[in-house]
Amino acid sequence: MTGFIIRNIVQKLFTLFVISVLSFLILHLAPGDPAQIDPMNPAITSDVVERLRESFDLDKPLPVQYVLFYQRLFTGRLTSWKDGRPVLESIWERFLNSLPLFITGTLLTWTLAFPTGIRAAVKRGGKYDRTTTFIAYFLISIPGFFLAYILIIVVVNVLQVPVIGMRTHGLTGLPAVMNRVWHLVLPSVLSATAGIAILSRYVRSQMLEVESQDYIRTARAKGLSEDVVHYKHALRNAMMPFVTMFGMLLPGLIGGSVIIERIFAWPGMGRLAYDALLARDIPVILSLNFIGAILVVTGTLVSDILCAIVDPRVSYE
Amino acid sequence: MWTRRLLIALPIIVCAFLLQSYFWTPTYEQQARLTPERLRHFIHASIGDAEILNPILSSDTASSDVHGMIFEGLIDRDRDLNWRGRVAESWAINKTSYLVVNPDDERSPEEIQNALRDAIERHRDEDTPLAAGLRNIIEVGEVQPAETLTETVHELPPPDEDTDEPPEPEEVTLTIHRPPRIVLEMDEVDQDLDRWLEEVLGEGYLSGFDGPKHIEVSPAAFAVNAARYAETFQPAIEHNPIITFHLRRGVLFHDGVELDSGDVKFTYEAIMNPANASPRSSSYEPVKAVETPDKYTVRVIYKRLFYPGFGSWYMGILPEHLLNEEALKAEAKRRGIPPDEFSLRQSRFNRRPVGSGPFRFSRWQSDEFVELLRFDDYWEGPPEYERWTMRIIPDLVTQEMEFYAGAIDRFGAQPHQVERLRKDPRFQSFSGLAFGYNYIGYNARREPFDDPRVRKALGMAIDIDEIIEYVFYNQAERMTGPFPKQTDYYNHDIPTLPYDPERAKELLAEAGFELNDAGWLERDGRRFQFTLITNQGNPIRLDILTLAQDSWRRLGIDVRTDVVEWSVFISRYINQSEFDACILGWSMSIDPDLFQIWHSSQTNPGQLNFVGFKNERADELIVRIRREYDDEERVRMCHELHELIAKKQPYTFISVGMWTALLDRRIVRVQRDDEGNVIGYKRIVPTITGSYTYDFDEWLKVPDAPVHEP
Amino acid sequence: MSEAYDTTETYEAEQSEPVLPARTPLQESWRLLRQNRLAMGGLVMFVLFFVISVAGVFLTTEWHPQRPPLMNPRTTRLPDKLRRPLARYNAEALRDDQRPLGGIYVLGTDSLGRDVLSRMLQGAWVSLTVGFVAVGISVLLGIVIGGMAGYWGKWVEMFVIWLIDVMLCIPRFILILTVLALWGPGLFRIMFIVGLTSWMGTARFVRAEFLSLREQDFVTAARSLGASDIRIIFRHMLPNALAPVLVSATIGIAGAILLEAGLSFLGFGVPEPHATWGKILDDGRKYLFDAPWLTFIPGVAILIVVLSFNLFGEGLRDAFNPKLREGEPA
Repeated sequence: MTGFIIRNIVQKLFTLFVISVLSFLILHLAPGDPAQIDPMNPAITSDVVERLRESFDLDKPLPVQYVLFYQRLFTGRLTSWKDGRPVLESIWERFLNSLPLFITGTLLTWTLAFPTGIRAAVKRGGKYDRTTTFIAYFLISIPGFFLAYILIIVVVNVLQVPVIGMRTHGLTGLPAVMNRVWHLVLPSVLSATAGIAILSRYVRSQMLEVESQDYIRTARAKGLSEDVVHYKHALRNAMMPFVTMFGMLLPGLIGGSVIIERIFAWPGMGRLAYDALLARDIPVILSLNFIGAILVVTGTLVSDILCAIVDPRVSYE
Repeated sequence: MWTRRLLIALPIIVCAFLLQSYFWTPTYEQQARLTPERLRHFIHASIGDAEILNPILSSDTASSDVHGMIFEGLIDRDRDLNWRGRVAESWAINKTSYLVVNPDDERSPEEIQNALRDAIERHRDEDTPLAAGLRNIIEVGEVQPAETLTETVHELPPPDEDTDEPPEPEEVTLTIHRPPRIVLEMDEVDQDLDRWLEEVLGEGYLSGFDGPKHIEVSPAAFAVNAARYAETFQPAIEHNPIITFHLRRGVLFHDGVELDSGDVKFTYEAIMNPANASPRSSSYEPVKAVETPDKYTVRVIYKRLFYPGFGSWYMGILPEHLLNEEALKAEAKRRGIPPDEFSLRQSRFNRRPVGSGPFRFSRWQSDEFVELLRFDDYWEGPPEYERWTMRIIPDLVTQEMEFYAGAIDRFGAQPHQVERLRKDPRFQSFSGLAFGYNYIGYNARREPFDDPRVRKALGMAIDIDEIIEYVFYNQAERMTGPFPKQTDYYNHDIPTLPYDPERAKELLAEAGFELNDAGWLERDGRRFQFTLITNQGNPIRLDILTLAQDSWRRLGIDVRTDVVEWSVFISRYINQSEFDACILGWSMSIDPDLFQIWHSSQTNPGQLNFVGFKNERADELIVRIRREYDDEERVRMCHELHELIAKKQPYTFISVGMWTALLDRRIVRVQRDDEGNVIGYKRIVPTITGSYTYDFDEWLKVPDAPVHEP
Repeated sequence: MSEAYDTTETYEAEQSEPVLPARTPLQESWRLLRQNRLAMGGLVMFVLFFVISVAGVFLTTEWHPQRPPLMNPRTTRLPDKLRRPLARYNAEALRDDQRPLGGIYVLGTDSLGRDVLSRMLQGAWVSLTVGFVAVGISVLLGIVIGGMAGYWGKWVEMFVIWLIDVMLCIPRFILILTVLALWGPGLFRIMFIVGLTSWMGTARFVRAEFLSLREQDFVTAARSLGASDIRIIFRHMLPNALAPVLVSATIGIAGAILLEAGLSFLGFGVPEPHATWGKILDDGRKYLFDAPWLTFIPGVAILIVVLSFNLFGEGLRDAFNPKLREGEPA
């Protein structure tokens, strides 16, 4: 087991290295000059641009820039070109903002997807199954921002309460906390829709897969009640792949939805990445990419290990 | 089955918890009932977050919106665009000039003195430019004896091909042997003084002065720069303006420390420090030195005549005690960063600034809001609002919804909304001409755009009035030249280019273009074909692109279009002058300095005269405008330059936009008597450039929409 | 294809010895698909959308400079801007060549007075192209890479698995945004980058299928008859691995159309002069309160098309799934 984990880790470290080189190259070979902060401003002369290039290390050869970059990233000294802030500090701040959204979204997704999917599988081909199938696909088929606008307009007009931003200004104590929860509702529902739809379909198909196995037939033949068959025997086995999916949740932390964050004026990680892209703030883009890759790699590692623990068919060798 | 029950109960619990939070949130109506706290809180919305709250480093509007409240400069402009003292109480521009007695000329200093006095006497009653120029000399003063001065400059060594090491600036010592000089007291700063003096003293007296010969450069390797050093330290005539600012006493920074001349000098040095890479340094480059004779006096000495330099002192003053070398070193040490890698740019100051303006910094949550509080010790008296918040709402549609609901106090209406919102009784609206204009620029280096007739014809083929009516929803005006329309520099006598496709065809025929059988215009067997480009992401420019292409195609011109991503657009096309015609915009400042955009020396790659406009007379006017200290004279020259540019049509000037800002109707200007009691409310009145926030310190929201005093 | 299925037929016939009169798996799938009303609805919409896009190309393309198309999506009519759906055209203010087909704006006009119906018709084809080409690229890559891994195994397989891992580690949406933000958006660039970042799923399927097919008798038979690798892969193995690829491609097209709409929202959509539905939707957003139809028409249109692709894909998946063939639930 230990050997398996160590080999896995070594392999993933190599993957990370390749990704770091790749993303560095993509950004540095792109056309356009990052030192051109505001090319149409007469006050920014070519001298100023030259000075900026120097202070951003852009005048050094690529490998040197690469080493300098990751050295500074790991020692926490990397600063943004746009505002001079330490990159890790801004990322941490955004991470804390994105976290509640992520947690609420994930809670909604996982708690809603299972009952819906299981019931659809149990009543397979019936009215309930068809309706949920349709609704699920309906939800994944609407362009996200279109749905967001419709929801905002409806909620604002019917309920007359603010939904934009992370909070309503001027509240204290428990109302302030609850107010923040309220501001979470709409964006997290929106970011969970696709997840609920996809996951519930997956639960359904897993359940169907399991229910067609012989041991379920045996269980039925033994005369066990339908509930026991579905929820004890079938569900337990259908759950297996989902255990490993927990690992894959991690990268969702950094993904964030740029679109939803923009519409809801939510200062999350997605917007940090988007604004950095527009400003060509390479340290921030690269760091986000790299941290994202670390999360994915850790996620798959956790999945692999969970999978190895849960599923006796997977060997460590 | 407990599994089943759990599976059903969990989502219900989660959803119920989320939804119950609704009952804790005040509705818009409850918020609009205006608690006293909300009345004293101004909420502003911005589509982007501030980047860096430091006036010498920022280059985005959101940052300047915020640091404009926190910092204050020496001067600003009042309602009528005249200069007004802020941190500086008063100022004076020194008009003394110094004429070097040319050692290669055989006349002695005294002889020169007499020659000048004679000439002034002789021409006293004449009506010639020379006589006017000489009359401007009030007194030919004493002779300053010869002296030897030393100066040090920091200079990069000439590139060394053997090493890859980035060159380090070296210290260069200049020993200047200055010949005797004659002091001339002037009535006004006169940029042509050297011309009048040469006319009196003989051709070559000034221009023949060999400045570099009297400078010793050490180390000698830098002697190649002698001519440049001479220009700064050893000119034949030094009539360089010296501005003396007298600072207001008792101006405090938000931490209670008094602002003094040292802070002004520090701000200047911080701008010029290469390590800070300040985007504003070019405006301060003509400054030779900033001196502080005492705590409340600042003397700025310029290397040459440069009027726009005066306006640059609007720059917010930084507190030296928080940012000087020791402070930065201490901060670097505290944060564990090697001091040589640490500059003002990295300092935490830029995220929690301390200035001397009417509001002091309180909190900044990135991409969510920036909050400022009233500074009670502001020298002009504290503002009415207690709190100022900038919320960051990147999506305009969301911003609009929040404004209607009363969650933000100001909304910048888009052109298509102006009509509807202006009539809305809940809001008061302000409109004004913007400082930016849109144009189509033609690359004059390429045929057939080198022919003014062609450029004019292309301009006449576009129905600009129609564009203004439908693309800008009438929220724009036509313009004919490169000066802000609301200033005197703009020449209102110049007629706009009419929409006249027939005349355009005639002009193109004059330029040699004929329609061929396929319906395209052609000259010497070559079809009139070009590509019109603009940047991606600006819908208005895209609309203009579509309409211009349509209009030109109807003349028989084969116009292709291309829309390019901004930074590629700039670096590949504009900077390299690799385009036929482009749609772009400029934003202007009140100061009429056109050097970078229109001077023929600025046509190299990466410079801003990318259309390649070259005109000798225009060059002369542009340089003279920069050096002129008399406003009337500047207006006259600007009018001439404007006319010249309108005649040559290097651009088709499309329009200057109008902005409209909406405020809640209940926001007013509070009027107080000397004891601070409220005596009434006034309506918010914008300045002539349309700045409605001019009186922001007096603004307040009142519970009921008031009846305004006249 | 028929040859391959024949082989499978024999193979399956040996194994399961069907009691029913022989039906090919294709016929069987079709029978299952027909029973699924949602999927059939999706298929009908799918075909309809295809027909509309092709018709759109014919109606809106300028074939000859002197003869304008029947419906010109580029004609601007400034006096007739932001007209409601079914508004009549203003004959007084406009030239004859600006008249919309039938003198009526069936779906209204946009901010430059362009006919929304013509724009939607033209955009249908562009949206479809974006979806098809992007997915085409990803499927092709997936088949080639996954096929190589599954067929040759050994280090090729290890390399491919590793490559898939690397690709999955890069946050996809951010990567697409990065490329488009730095290089600038363009029709082909969007199709390529979407295709290049989405082949991993297909590659996995194909690899898994190939792994099992590789060991089967008909492949061994073909190999012993001296067929080349290429021939074995493309004639014998690929057709048998195609079903899951087809399903994921159908759903992939839906995803690509939605993705393009999201990119449009962020300002990185397909630039002018091409107008996808996502772009039209984004253009209309600005006028949400002044001209809501500019948002709702493309929004609902995208919803319907993407939904039909998804439902059809889901139906296909069920129809191809051998587990579901036998024993329909009571």
